[in-house]
Amino acid sequence: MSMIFNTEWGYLEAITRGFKNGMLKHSDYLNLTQCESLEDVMISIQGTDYGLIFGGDFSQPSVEVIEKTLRERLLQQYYYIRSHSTEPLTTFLEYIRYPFMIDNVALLIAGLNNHRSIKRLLKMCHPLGFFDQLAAIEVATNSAELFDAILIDTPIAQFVPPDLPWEHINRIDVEIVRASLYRVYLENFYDYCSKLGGNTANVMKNLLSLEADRRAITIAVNAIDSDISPKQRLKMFPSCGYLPKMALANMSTLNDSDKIRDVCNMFEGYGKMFDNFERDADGMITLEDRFLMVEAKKNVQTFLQQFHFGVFYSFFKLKQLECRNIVWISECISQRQTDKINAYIPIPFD
Amino acid sequence: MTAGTSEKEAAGQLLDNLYLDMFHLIEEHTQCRVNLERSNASGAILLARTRFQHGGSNSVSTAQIPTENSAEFNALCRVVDSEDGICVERQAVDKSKGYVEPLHWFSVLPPMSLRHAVSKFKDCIELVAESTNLQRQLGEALDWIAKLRQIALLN
Repeated sequence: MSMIFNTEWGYLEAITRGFKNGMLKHSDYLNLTQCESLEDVMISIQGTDYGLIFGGDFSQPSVEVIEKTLRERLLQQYYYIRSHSTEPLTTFLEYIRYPFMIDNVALLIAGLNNHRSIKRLLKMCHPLGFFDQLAAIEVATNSAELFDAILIDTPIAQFVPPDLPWEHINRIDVEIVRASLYRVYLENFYDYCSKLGGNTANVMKNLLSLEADRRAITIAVNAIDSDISPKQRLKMFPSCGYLPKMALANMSTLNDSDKIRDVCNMFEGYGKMFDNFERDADGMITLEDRFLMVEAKKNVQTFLQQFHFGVFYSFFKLKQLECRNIVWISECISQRQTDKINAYIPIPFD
Repeated sequence: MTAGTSEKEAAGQLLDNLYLDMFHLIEEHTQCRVNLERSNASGAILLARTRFQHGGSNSVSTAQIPTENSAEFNALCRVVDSEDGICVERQAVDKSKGYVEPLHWFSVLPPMSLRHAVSKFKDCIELVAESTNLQRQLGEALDWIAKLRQIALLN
């Protein structure tokens, strides 16, 4: 794989490493956190590798405008790499897009259940998750049609679990549908990467196992005191993680975060994620943040190896984290709560 | 004459007490408003934190909030006005009777930050009721002061 990698994908890997080198450094984040208004934030962003993305138009600074513009840059970078790629990289890059499609479908179902107009909902969708049949979801008058007529031709049809009772989708909460789709997606992606073999398989299996464990633990903790039965919870846990099936089965029955921590401690040492989070003021740094920090570190380490597809996956994950960091800083400034501004996740590039 | 003087003194005392009450009420009312703003701001930043942790504006989105055309539901929380002032009555969550949990509009698997935001916003409602009561008491105190001052002028 390494010998022929550069003939097909060497250019794209180089471009991705270039993009990664242009990401915001610690000094850029310091500049952003010291801004006093959203215009300052926009000017600071234009001073980084992003360049003149706002086009010099600061008439209506808002967090939404900043988020949308950053997203467009991510989109441009993604589509540049995707349009120059060949198989199997093309399929790999499509796999990076599928979670956005799943989120968009979940958003549309939730919005349509509340009788909102499809035009407004489409504007709220993430552009990376657009596919042709997205707008057609409105046409389905009931859920059975939704699957048989529309979703079956879409890329996410392959992620619908066979035991999901699609006729009764109205009775199942959207979040559970999303979690079930995501589980199948993650397991499919894991299998695909395993088949690719070589460095790609090693790197991606590591990253996807962490993601699977993180999903399982987060769902287990968030489902505490809810009406979701242990069997349903177990169906939402992806099984391709480091946590063995026994641990997952155990976690699905627990209703106490201390007991979940004990299970995590026994396998893989995830228990230390649970420490300290009660001591932080106002619940800012929680379990999810600790997982984000570990994920960021692992994604940066991906770049230490060459000739594998993991660099593309890691770059997009890190870029999304950077967008979220900038949006968080902007929200703190716009809400004038700058005491919490340093609660972003720093990306450990050095 | 002495009876008139002692009446004036009593009226003066009463006026002093009313002014003192007024100042205390102003202080409590302002403190209540400050707490309300703090609670609301905490709630708002926690919503932003939920979006940060879950990647994007879809996790907490206006699309998830019911509109006029959505299914009917009953209010979990009602304001009751009685002689003692405003108080807030809460119902238990009971899906069969139409009392839905608003948190479930956003997610049946709510993250910690969203749950904290819920408790902050619930505190806000209590503080609004308290602020209203204090404002009413302040209004009454000001009325009494105005009346007393008019009578004192006639003396």
